[in-house]
Amino acid sequence: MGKLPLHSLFCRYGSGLELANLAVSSDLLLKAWDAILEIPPTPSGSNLPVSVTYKVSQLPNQTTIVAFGCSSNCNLQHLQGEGSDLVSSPAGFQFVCTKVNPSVSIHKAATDHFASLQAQLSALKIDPASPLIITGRSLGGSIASLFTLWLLDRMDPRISKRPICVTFGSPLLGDKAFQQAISERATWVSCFLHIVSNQDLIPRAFVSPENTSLAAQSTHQTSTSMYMPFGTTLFCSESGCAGFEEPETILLLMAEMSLKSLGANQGLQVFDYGGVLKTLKSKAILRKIGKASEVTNPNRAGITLLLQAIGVIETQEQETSEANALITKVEKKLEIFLRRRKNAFDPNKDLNNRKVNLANMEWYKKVTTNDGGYYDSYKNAQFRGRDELLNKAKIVKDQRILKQYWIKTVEDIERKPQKEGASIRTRFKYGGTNYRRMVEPLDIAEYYSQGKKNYLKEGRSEHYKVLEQWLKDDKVSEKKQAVGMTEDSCFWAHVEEANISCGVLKDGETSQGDKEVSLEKMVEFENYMMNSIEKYSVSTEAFLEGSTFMKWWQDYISIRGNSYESKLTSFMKNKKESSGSMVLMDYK
Amino acid sequence: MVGGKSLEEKTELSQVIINTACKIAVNAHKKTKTYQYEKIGSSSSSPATAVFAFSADHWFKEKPFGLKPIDLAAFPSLRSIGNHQKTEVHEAFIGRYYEILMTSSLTAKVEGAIRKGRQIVFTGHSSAGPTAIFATLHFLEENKKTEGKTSIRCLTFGSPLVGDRVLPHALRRENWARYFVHFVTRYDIVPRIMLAPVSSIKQDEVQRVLDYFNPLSKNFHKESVATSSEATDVYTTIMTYAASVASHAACNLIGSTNLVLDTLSSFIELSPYRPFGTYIFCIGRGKLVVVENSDTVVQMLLHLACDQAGEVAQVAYRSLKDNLVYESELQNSFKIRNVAYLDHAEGLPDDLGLSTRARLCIHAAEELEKKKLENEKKINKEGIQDGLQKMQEYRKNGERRKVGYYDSFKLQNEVEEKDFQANVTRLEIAAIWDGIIEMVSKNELPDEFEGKKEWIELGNEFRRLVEPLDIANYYRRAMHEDAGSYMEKGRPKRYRFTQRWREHEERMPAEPISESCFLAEVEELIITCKKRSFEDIKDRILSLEKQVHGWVQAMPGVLGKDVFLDGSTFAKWWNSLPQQHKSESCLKEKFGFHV
Repeated sequence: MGKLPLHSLFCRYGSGLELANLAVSSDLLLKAWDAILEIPPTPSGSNLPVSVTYKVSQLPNQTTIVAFGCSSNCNLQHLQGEGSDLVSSPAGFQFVCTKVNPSVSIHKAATDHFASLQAQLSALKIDPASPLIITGRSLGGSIASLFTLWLLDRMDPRISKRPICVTFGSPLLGDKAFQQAISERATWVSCFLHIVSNQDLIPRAFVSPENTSLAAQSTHQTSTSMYMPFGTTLFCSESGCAGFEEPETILLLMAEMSLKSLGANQGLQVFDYGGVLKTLKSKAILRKIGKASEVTNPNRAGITLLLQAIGVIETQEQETSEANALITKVEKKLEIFLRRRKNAFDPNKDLNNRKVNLANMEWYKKVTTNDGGYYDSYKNAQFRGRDELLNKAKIVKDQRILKQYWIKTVEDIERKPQKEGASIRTRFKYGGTNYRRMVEPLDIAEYYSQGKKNYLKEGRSEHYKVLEQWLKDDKVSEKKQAVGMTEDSCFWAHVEEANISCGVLKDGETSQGDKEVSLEKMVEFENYMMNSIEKYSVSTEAFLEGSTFMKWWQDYISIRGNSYESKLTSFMKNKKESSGSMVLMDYK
Repeated sequence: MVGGKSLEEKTELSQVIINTACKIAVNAHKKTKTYQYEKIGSSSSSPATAVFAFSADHWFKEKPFGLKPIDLAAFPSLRSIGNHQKTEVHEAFIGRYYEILMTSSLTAKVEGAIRKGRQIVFTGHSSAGPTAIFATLHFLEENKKTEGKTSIRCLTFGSPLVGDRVLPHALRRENWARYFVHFVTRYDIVPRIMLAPVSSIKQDEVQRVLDYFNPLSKNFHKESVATSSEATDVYTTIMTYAASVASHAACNLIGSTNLVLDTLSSFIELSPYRPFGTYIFCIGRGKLVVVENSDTVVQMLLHLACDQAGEVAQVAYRSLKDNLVYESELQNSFKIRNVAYLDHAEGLPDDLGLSTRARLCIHAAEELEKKKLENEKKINKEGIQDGLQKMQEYRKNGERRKVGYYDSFKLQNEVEEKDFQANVTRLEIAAIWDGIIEMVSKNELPDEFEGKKEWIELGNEFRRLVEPLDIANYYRRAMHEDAGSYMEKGRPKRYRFTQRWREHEERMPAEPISESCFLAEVEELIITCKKRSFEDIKDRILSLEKQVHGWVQAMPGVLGKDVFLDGSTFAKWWNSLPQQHKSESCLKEKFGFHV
């Protein structure tokens, strides 16, 4: 046998191995660990309270390290004895919550320790432009994570360099909502690297049998009271290291380590990460000759490599059913995770094709504007002959695609945390406004042609409201808009409502009280109309002969009688006198 | 023998040339004379060849070590075109070459050989390798400029890396990469040195060990240096950095989606140097492995030289010794003739002594290369061609109606459905091109892409035909009032990139205003004319007129008649200029101006 087929070696999961090797072959982790070792020891004894201390140091290359350590009595027994209580949205950490994860829970002991240090930490002078490493071991690592979150919330991403938070053997810090809220912010989640030895019991302190068994059933919603790892976890063992970010896989692997009783007697001592890191660094340039054995399933082979590296399966163990079951579990989880990430919706994709849809609609509008009007042509297409119907049919597809796209986009952007969403909103604001003005009138036409009422309150799709709000939220005055578009996308809903009120007024059986209400509404509409006209924000099509608006106007005049005078009546008269010229209306 | 080709066929160099080059390169390395010259007579397989071998560069002692953007005036091809990114090269290496060029008879000697129709081979051993590389690049550029036919080759033996990732990209695009053949023995430390960051090479300890390669040092080839513990430390340091580089590169090859990678990388000093050309690894017992893919070479540089038996000191010793054995290694392999080709191979030979991890990484590099080729194949070229066809008709239709398509499009006359159709077509082609440009920016297409005639020409046609409509659209929608002028704020990448492709292909200087976008300048001048006096902007107008005149002369048909039609935006504005100016204008005939 001379060659091994190449494709049999390709594995999508191999990057976990390379990421970990990048981390251990560099100096970064050792520098962080050394900084922790330099923290002066605090007196400790079994009867003294556990304490967390920190030290700020400078590296020669301008890098600042903030290191958190904890007293040596902070061992497994203590952590488990003190309790794994979670506190829901603790004071000072509400900023982690998002719309999607409105309540996050964090390890109580960690937030208490952080609170006691917060005054000192807030006073630290940190240059936002130079590199910052935040690190800590055990409970100190938890504090390092909280401090990093606290900083991330206060940082201006335009001038600040992203910090990195490296923890060594830290217990889990928060629940699933906490993990997900952090994952919602791409920048935040990219800052956390948790180093976990397969021999260290502390990181597994809060991995209870319940949440691991739940995690094993991949589809199950894990209950909120349970811990979930966040960021990237880098497992290491004597034989290698590998990085994981899928939280349930991480739990699963931790449980597997407990099952194998790895590191059973070391829960009382401080685990020496420095020693492991040095070993791994020297191994980075050691060559282990791979067995050129037949590989039938490349992904399984890759995962086997990952699991061997972190010491949860033995090098020779590949064939056992136990190992196979674990490989299958991990493979499933990673596959779901990667597929979900790959299929994530991206509003930037296909933007050009959405422009084509909008151009088609623009053309329809152009064709219909002088011939019955955009709104009324669409509304009455079935009464206006075959051509009109065909024209309408052509754009219905564009309309549907655009609507789907924008509903999804709005949903996606609104779900983003405040800061991350803001810049994206600004970017999509103009496109959204153009879309809204183009498509919403047709929704309104559809709505009223079905005989329904009260579009604004009962019929309007949520995403239009949001898009309108984006525009209002923008402080910069809005200049840019397509030529000949009515500014208020709900203009026609107002007209339709006025028409309905007109019907009420004309109806002989209407009570006097109802008439007065309707008349009041009429005056309101007149004001709205005049206001829009004065702002040049109504398109000319409204005034075309036979339009829904003109129909209202004629009915209204006949109810009011010729003697009635208002701003609108005089405008409508003058408009007629200028021989139907719409020049006034055709603002730029 | 795997791959079917012999080494001579692959390198297009005869055994005699390779052996001679190696011999005089090794020899010249120790000499003080800047270069040595040897002529090899013609044979059945190759013409007479002039071999230039350079002496050692004492770069280990010299400052500065860092990268420096290359001078594009001297090396116009060494960049990424669309992205407008220069190659960065080792400052001391290129400085050394310039020094030789200035102080020696090299240019005259090479030019003499070229005149005699000889093939030119530049060669260098170890630290003289970079000089040979820059000499080759220099004369390749000269050859391109003068459209010469000289065959210019470069052979290095244990040379350090000289430039960043733009270099392999540019050389493959120019189809020059195959002219560079680098021999590297299994453990030779020198080709790996630049994978360590500059700050680590500067350390005294490293310098003392590297004196082993310095002919002027008392430590030159001294056995006690090679066996010292410092040598072990240097090997470990350099290789550990190489491991970081290789792991980082592998993450990108595999397509890591983990976001922590970026943050992590920003805290780790990673060498930007990358290999280019054809690497021939002499892995022992006469066996050769040929690799062309730059990403694969990076992985090979690391993994081949890793310590297998757990005896670092011995490997470290070999990492120094291996820089001195090229002559014998070559002779041995010419006897054995066992050559494996990794690129495009169906499999990885399993006698290379590589770990499973290394195989994974090498395979990922191959997969990425295939992916790039697929990406190019998947581009909807027919879609572009159909769209351009429609645009041609739209433009011709305008000419028939005596309304230029620019103005017709700008008016978007409602009875004329063609304007609307043109807009849809414009958006459809734009979508395809934006996809292409995105891939070019992200390096997701083959390196050769920006140098391929078919794409340059298609891009050129697209730009000339469609950009005017983008400009019309921009000013029709008054986007300049919000954002600023088209040229500064509105011009899409799809036009900037395609213009650069053409300028590179035709070796022309960059034109701030090109034939496809001068109407944007006209629109700006129309706006400016309202605010400022004619005298104020006279120079701008004159220069535009001169350019337009030049295009009409040099490229008939590129600017359609429609541009000059009565009533066109351009004509209306030009006609509004002062009488005096018009009567002297170089465009007066074009506009049919009579006094």
